[in-house]
Amino acid sequence: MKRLIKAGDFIKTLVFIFPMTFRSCPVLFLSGNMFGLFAGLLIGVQTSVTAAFFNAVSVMAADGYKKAVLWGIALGAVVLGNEVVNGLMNFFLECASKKATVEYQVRLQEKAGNLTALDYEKPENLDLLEKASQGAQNASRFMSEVMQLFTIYIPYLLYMGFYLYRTSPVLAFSLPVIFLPVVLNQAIRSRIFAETWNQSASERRKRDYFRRCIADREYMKETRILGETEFFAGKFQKALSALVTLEHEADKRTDGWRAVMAGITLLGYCGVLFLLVRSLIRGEIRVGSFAAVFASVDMMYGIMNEIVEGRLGSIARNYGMVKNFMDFLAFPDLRTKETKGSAIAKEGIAMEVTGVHFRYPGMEKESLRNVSFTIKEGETLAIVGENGAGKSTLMKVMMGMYLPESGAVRIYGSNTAKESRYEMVSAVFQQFQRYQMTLRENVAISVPGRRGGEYIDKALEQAGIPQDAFIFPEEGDTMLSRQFGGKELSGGQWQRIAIARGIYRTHDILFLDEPTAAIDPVEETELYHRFEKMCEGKTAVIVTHRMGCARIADRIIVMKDGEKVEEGTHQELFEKGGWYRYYWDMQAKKYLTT
Amino acid sequence: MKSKLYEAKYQPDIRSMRWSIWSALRLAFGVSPAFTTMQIIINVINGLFPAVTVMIQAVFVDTVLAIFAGEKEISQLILPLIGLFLWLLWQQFSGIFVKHGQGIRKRKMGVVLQNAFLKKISLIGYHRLEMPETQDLLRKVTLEPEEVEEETLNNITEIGILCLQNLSVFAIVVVHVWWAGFLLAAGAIPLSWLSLKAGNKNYQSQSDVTEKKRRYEYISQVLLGRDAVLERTLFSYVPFLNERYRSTFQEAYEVEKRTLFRGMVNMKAGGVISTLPALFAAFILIPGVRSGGLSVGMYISIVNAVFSLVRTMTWSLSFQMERLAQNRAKAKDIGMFCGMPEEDAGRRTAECSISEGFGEDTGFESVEFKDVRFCYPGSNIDILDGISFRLEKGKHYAFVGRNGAGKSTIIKLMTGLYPEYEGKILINGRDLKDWKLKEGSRWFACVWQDYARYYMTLRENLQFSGGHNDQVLSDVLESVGLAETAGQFPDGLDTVLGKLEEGGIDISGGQWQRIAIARAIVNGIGQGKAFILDEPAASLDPIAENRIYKQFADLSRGETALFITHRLGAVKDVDEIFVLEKGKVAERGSHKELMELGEIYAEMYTSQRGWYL
Repeated sequence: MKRLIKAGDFIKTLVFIFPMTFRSCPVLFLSGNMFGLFAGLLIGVQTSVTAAFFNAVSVMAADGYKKAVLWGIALGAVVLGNEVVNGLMNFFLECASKKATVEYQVRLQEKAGNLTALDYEKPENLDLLEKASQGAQNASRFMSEVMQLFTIYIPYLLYMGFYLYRTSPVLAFSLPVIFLPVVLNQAIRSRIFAETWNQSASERRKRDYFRRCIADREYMKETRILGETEFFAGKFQKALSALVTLEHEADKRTDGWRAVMAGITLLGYCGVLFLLVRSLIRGEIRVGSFAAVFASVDMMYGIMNEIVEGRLGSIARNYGMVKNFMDFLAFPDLRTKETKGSAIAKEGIAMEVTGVHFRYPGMEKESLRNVSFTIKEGETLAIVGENGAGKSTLMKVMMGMYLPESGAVRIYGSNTAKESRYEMVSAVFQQFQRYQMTLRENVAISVPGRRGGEYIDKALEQAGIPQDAFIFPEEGDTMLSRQFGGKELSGGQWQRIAIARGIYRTHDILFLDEPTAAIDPVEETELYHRFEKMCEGKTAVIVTHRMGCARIADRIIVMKDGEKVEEGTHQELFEKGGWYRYYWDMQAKKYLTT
Repeated sequence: MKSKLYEAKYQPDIRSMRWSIWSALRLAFGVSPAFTTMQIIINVINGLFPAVTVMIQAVFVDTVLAIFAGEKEISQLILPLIGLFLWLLWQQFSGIFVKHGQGIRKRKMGVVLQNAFLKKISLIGYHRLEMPETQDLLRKVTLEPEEVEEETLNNITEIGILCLQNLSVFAIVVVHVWWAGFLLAAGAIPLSWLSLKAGNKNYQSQSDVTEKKRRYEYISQVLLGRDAVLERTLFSYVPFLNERYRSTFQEAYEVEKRTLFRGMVNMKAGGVISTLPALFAAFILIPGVRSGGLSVGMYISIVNAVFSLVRTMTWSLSFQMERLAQNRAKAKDIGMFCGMPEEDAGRRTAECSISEGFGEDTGFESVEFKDVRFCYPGSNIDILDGISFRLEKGKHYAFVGRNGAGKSTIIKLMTGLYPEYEGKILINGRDLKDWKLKEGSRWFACVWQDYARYYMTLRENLQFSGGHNDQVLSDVLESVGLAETAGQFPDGLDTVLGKLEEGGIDISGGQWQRIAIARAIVNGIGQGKAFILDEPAASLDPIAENRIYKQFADLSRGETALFITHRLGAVKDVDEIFVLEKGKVAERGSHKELMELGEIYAEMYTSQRGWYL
């Protein structure tokens, strides 16, 4: 039963991947496989032609050499034809595989784009994506290997079966005789491999980790200053030798079985040979056929091995990955269903947050508890609090990236749970991206597809990015990454580019999340001044843990352990003497006392 | 159960080895001399395979034909049959023997090379090791280097066997019809040379498209990666970039298609070319059969052998040559790694300096930089531009300044991680370069900004090979505020942290950081070391940061401590502040003095203070 389901899944995977492959490059795909079919038949035909040729040669003394020469020419044509057909097949399949892979990749990327930001917070989803991505990379290989099974190998084997049967019915037995030990051998090998996999994988992981402790950037500085290289080298050695011993034991077993199977193969070989000789002596087959079959036994053995060890093994390995890919594409879309038009915007209210609760998947504790407030149009709101108080989470919920467990967020009246209003929002994120593209592209990516030459320049200017020939030798078209032969920027310069990106995007509400990466005090002050300017008269939200920065906002919300503990203007909160005042004093006292 | 088999007796000198085919051979003879010799003998015998098969088959066919003609008895078939059986027996089992031996040899090489390479890594200077190029090289080279070596061996044996097989078939032809043999050779030699050349050309043209490929692969990273998810969602650029992905691919594909086609034509031209001599042989031998100089059996066998050889030649030879070329390229990388300069071995391994007449090993007394210049390899900007200062035992210092002003670089120089600088660094009054350094620092205990998370037991995380008793460790845990957390661990100090092993437990980033601080304390307290805190809290909020600095300042009272930061409020109370600007000490003094000076520090401080006024 279980096997049946498995077979069903396998067929489902094929049915899924086949049309996708076909559509991505019908001509290449068909031609490749047609040549494959041709190639399979030609390998078989070669045996027949060889037999005919030898037969002609063996009776040459009586019949003259004309026939022999003709068959010889035919043989030559088949052999050369096989080369050409093979080359064409490989070329077409290789091209098809590249084209198809891009198709899979595009589908994968589309699907990944449909996942919510929250999906990326779950490690199991990242794992799934990683596996699906491997599947997309290997799907075309899987497809062409399966196709080749049907175009090359099965026709070849059928042809040989038919040929052997025609030559002498008992010879048809030689096929299973060759097939059996090969299959058994493979089955035993994969079983031993599976049995030892867990343990050896664990030792391998340890070995690699201890090497990292010595050689990896993340560790080596500390390991060296502590003087513990020897300590890790010892651990490394221990894991390595455990690994090697495990592999040795597994190899001993595999090779033992291999020897047994070789014995069986040998017996089979002898059996086939015996049958051949008997048929020959009885006059059932001619000398030429004998020689041709004799020569082809070796080849059949080789091809069987290739099918079972090479192809089937590889198909099975890739199948798992391709299935992951398929499952990923079938993953339910968690995107909100768009129900546009239901929004009723209240006059002068940009955003309403009412009774929001939020919990990260798999966490017991709520990250946001019963948070409510409103933002008026043209108002700047600051969210402050300690690390882990829920500031950044709240911001993502406000933008509609995360949906609240209960409660609602309304942007200009429309509920983010019902429709996304990303088109009204722009942001500078804490972990902004550093795109390895040109300066202009780095800015323009926030509104994909818009040709906004002067807008880009304006955004760059507002963000305080000097169009300096020293920094940007090719102005806006300067490539920003060393990898593609471009310019490497400092953290502060990247930060400004992120700001330009945020400005460039048309928006009704702007979110500014303070960067976590270390920037120096002067740059930091400049950054806040820029934030201040960007917010003037605009609807904006600033997330910060610098109380001094929060002061530029019209209103401040103080978060603590996922709850809104205070709300008011700087003056109100300062005078109230609560958490805000406490944080303020903590930070300010170092600067204000002498 | 531990196998003695893999205890390394052979230690190759990886530095002087020429990493190519020769290194593979030397290693093979080094780790498994007996097996490697046997393998060569077996391979030579198997190289004769076609010739032996030809002979047995010929005898066989001719005997059968003779039986037909009534010239021989059936019983005369028995001898060739036994011969054939023995030959097959040998073939099957020698193959398994060789495969098993190769497995063992590969693992032996693995043990030898992986250990040697790790040793090598530990001898390469930190300043070289941290460069991205070196890290790339390490990733390519040091993981399982034996794969490259064993595969190279495989490539050359396979190629060797093919050559022998060719020779043996050639010999048979020559013996029977000498002129045909020479005609064959005259045709085959230039042709196989051509086919080899075609195969090589194919390999070279591969690298043309990599740049474009990297570009569309990068787009894929942006579309799939976790870091970009927020901007990706908000800016909704997935369709846009997907289109771009497709078009960049298409550009690369146009080039690649042509390369592929050329490669295919080259390879198949090679294949066709090497088939021609076989056909040629089949034809020129026919008159020999007619004239009776060649028996029918021999003719058939030779043609069979020639064709099967051609088949393996066209498939296998071009494949093996291609792999060999790839493996040689990899071996070149290995050679580059092995040739990397090592730190002066004497400095790193010798015992400490007492015997050199430097007096007692007293721990940290002072450090002094005199006009030190430093520039990162591959850059032409002096990150330190003639810097001078002096730090003394028992005081607290702070280094402040912009990013890129050289704060962290100073620490790396001081701790000996960057040995290549100009000027003088004196520790305890002696030139740093004169001290014979043991690995590990006798003078400094550091908490780094990018502290390491060691996935091992809590005990090992605190002291590794050190031998402090549990009381000391718990006191330290107490002082960094980890006692409560550690108390809840299932195995106490022996709880495995991190998810490397089954049953390891995950802890938060904040807890890892406290462990890093605890480690520095265990490593430094009471041993006369100076503490260095290199922005350990840069990614924390100011409140948590203040807490950490205060905690540490309390813990290290009476000890030497050096804080690096750009948050000025946190380090206001230290004895002396150094303000770095453009690789020099621009200002120095206490907070009060610097404020009175009213320049860089005062400006920075005022700018931060401005937020609170």
